[in-house]
Formats: sequence, C-alpha cells, structure tokens
Amino acid sequence: MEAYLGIDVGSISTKGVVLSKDYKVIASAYHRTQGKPVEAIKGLLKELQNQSNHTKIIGAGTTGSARRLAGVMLGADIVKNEIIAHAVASSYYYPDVRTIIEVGGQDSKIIILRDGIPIDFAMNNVCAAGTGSFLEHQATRLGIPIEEFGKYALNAKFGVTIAGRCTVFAESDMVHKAQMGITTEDIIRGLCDAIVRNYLNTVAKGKDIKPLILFQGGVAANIGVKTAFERALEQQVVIPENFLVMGAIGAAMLAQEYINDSKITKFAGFETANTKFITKAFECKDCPNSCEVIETFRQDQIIDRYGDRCGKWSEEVK
Amino acid sequence: MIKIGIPRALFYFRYGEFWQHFFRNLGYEIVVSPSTNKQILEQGLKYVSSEICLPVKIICGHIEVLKNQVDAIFLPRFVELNHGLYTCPKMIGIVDIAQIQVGNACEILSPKIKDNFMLAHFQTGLKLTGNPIKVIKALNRAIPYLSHHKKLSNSEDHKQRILLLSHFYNLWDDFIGKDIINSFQSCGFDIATKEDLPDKVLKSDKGFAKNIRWVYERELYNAFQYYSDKVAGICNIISFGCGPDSLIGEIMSKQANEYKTPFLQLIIDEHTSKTGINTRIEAFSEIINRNYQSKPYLTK
Repeated sequence: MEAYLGIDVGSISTKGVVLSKDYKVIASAYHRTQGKPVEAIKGLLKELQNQSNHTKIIGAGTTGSARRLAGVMLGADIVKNEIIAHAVASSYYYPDVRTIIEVGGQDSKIIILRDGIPIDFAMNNVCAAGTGSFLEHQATRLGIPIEEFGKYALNAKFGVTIAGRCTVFAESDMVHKAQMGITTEDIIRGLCDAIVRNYLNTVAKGKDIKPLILFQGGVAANIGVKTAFERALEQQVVIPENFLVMGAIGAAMLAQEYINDSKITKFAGFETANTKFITKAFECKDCPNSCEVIETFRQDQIIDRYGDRCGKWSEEVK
Repeated sequence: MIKIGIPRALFYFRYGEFWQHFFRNLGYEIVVSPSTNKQILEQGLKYVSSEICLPVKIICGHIEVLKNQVDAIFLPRFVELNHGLYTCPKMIGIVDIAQIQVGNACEILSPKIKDNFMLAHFQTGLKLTGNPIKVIKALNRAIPYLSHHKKLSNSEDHKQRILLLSHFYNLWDDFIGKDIINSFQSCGFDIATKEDLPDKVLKSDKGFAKNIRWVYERELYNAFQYYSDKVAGICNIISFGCGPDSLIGEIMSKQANEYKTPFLQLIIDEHTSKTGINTRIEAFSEIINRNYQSKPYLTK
C-alpha cells in the first residue's frame, strides 16, 4: 500500500503519522523529544515502521520547530511551518472549523479560518506561561501523574483565582492557596482557568473566535483545560480524535499535495533510524556577529548547515 | 583636530547622512560606528535595564564602541520635532544614560531639539567653530542630505507587496530589519515602507492622525492608512517594551481587521529567535498567497 509520512518535531514532543492516500491514519506515534531531536526522530521512525507493515512511503513532510533538522534527516519532500500544517489537517477533518486553539509544550497558537482557508493567526510572544511544560511541572510538584491532572479540576467545588500572567507568580500563588487550606482539586481548577485566561488575553486577544472551535496539541489531553475553555468562551470546544498528531497529519497531507501523484519522493526510507546522524554547532569568529552555525552530518558527511547571517557557511553545503 | 563620533543607531537612520556632511563641511573628522552586530548589542546590554527597548540597548553598544576613539559623540536630545509632536521618554533620556556611560572618556554633544532642528544644529556648529558664516554654509550644503526617502521596490503590484511598518531605527538597522526584509523577499514579496512616502503623507494631521502626538507614531499611522488598500498584507515590527507602539500597533491591528487587510505583528527583543520570526513570516506569506488563489487546502 502506498502512503505518506508526516513528522512534527516540537520542543517537548515528537509526533509522526503514516497516512493512507485517502487520509486514514495507518500508524501514529508520540515520543518525548527530551532535548534530543535526532534520537526522538529515530525512535519515532522505528515505531511507525513497526505499525505500518507493507506500506511504501511515496511522500514525506515535516513541521514543528525542528522541521528543518527533521527535513534534512528524512529527505522530506516538503518542510512547512506548524500553522499551515495544523490548518490543513483540521480543515480537512472538520470543514466547518473557524477557530483552532493549539497549546503545545512551549508555545500556543490560535488560527482563524474562514471557508477552509486560514486567514489569521497568532502565537505566544516572549512568554510561555500556561503551556504544557508548565502544567507538567505543576503536576510533578503536586505528585499527580500528568494524565490525571485534568480530572482533578472536574472534581473541584469552586474555582479559586490563581494569577496566571506568569508561571513564577502562578506557582507561588498556588503554594499560598494550598497553605490557606484550599483543596488540591480547587487549586487545579483555578490553574486551568488561569491558563485559559492568559491564553485568551495574550495569544487570542482581539481575534474573532467563532465556532466550530477545535482544541488540539498536547494540552488538549487535559480535560480540565478543555472545560475551562468552554466556561470562558461559553461555547462547545471540540477535541479532534487525533489531537496529538494533527500537525504531523497536516505535514503528511502537504507532502501528498506537493507530490501530486507525479513527483518522486526524496524520502530516505525508514532505515534512516539506523543511520548515524550528528549535529554540531560552532561559533563563527570571522566577524563580530559571532553567529552560531549548526551543522548536521549523515555518516560523517555534512548534509546541512545554517545559522550564519552572511550565508557563507550555509551556501558551501548547498 | 577634533574627532566626532556618530553612533550608527536610532536617529542615525534618519539624519546620519546630513550629520556627516554637516560636520565634514565644518572640517571635522567623523567616525561612524560599524553596523550593529551581536558584540555591539552585548556591550549595550551591560548599560541599560532589561526593561528598555531593543534600539536603546543597541545605541548604548554603539556609544561604547565610540567612546574611546573620539573626542566627542554627537547625540542630540530629540524632544519635539514639529510643533506639538514629541518623541518618547526613552529617546529623550538616552542622552543622560550616555552621559553616565561615557564618564570622562569623551564629551557628549547634545543640542536639545524642541521644534528648532536647524537652529539647534546651528548653535552646535557655532559652539564648535565660533564662526557663524562657516556654520551657515556648512548647514546649507548639508541640507540636501536631509532626505530620508528610500525605496526597496518600484513594483505597483498590490498582490505582491507587503508593507513593513516599523520605526526607521528598527527597520534600517541591519541587525534587526535585514533578516525580516530578506525573509519576506524570499517568500516572493516586494517591500513597501513608510520611507517610500512623501512627507506630505507622513505628516498629515487628517482624521485620527491628529490625535497622535508622538511624531513617529503619526508617521506610522499615516503610512498604514495610505497603504492599507494598496498592499497584500502589513507586517508591524514592534520592539518589546515600546509604549507608543503598543498603543498605535493595537489601533492599527483593529483597523486592519475592519479593512480585511492581513496584519502580522512581530515583537522583537534581544532574545528573539530567527526560527520564531521565520515561522511567523512564512505562515503569514502563505496565508496571503492562498487567499489570493482562494484555494482551500484538501477538502473532503
């Protein structure tokens, strides 16, 4: 069977799917990036290969903040930013979607669509308050598995107010509220509300949030945040079936659009998982800009170089 | 002979040419600091509070570069440019920061400009030379270099044109603006800027613009109004912590929404990652292109 591969390498997690020609998810995998994107991508490829026997990849796409690295490793046909990837996947499964709320490990975004076309978007600037890594940190601190975290919010009696503008203040506020004797459930619900408030005030400010509203990305697994969004927006919020891997699905779809049944894929094969890749960085001392140049090697051979403002290092490899 | 240093930052991008000619006409040697680079920025960061905007951090780096190689640094205190139109508190206060920063290393020449641009320059020249005739001649010969008009593209194709809306000291500083300009160009767009427009448009006080008392915000707003139906999209580049920009940027973003002109706000500071900026520019460009083709992605 012929299929497409999509990989989404984010700051916290690495996601991948194998998508059939009629957009069915044949295989999907989710790995922690753990600061080692190369290893995460390899692990992901192995898992996807195991799940999708007898498929032939005829197109590959990458997205996410490490899309470029993933792209050169895999020999991706298309490397696209995550805004477009999410918009493409969501508008296919939900043609009526007009708002996408995406909250990931370290960034959050809103995408506004009309008639299936993304018309506007925003991403968090400067501050990552209220994203997945903060929630995870709080879950660990309270000794609650992250998977259970959202359920605690549902058992809350009332919503206590937590300062959500900044994670440092939020944490001290939570500690303070706990010392006052407020239950963990109520505090967690307060935290979910604070995250939503922060998102609506900083990321989604001024955007016209109309139904259908989709909520995706890692934090969508948190039922507490979902209900907090519904409370704040006074509307239903839908979590797509494949909410974790929507970016990867979008990347696979974009690969299919690009290949268009005519081009031959550059995909290096699942064997890439067994290939040696090394990334190195050095600071160029040739001018006072001191650019950090990043290099990627496959089997000791250089395949990509970027990061220099003047282009003299990167052009050498092209 | 006295050596005069001019930092290649802030007002340099508006008056730099004029200043160089003026002082050379007076017979002084001019040292302009090099284009902003990472090292200059890092030197600047040592002298200012982290709350201050990126361009002010940058100019402190330039002052650091100049202070030991010149006798005086020319850094006018821009307060009021046209009658009733002001710069911002940080622009006004930068001279005091510089004063502390240079200590005894060199002098700071800082005429106060309050709706008296030419007179203030005349007085500075007079103080230096004591020869009014010479100063007037030098000024007259420098005046043609006051023009700050620049054009990156002559294209009139609305669908292919992006307006980059930012203060001149952000957009034309290689360290800040160049990457953003390049990114848009590599996405296939022509670039329009407020420097394309004649003063008559920029300084107009018609409509809402008359309420804006910040001189450069008024220019930005007028450029926004002029271009809003003549470009495919507008990218507003704001330095983090800029008070005036945060207000006018918000107003423009709301109006762009009413006009249905795609509007992207990029907030920059010294931590801004190139990847983050590129992600936003790429997504914005693609959204614009798809809208012109009215071509939805895959449909069921």
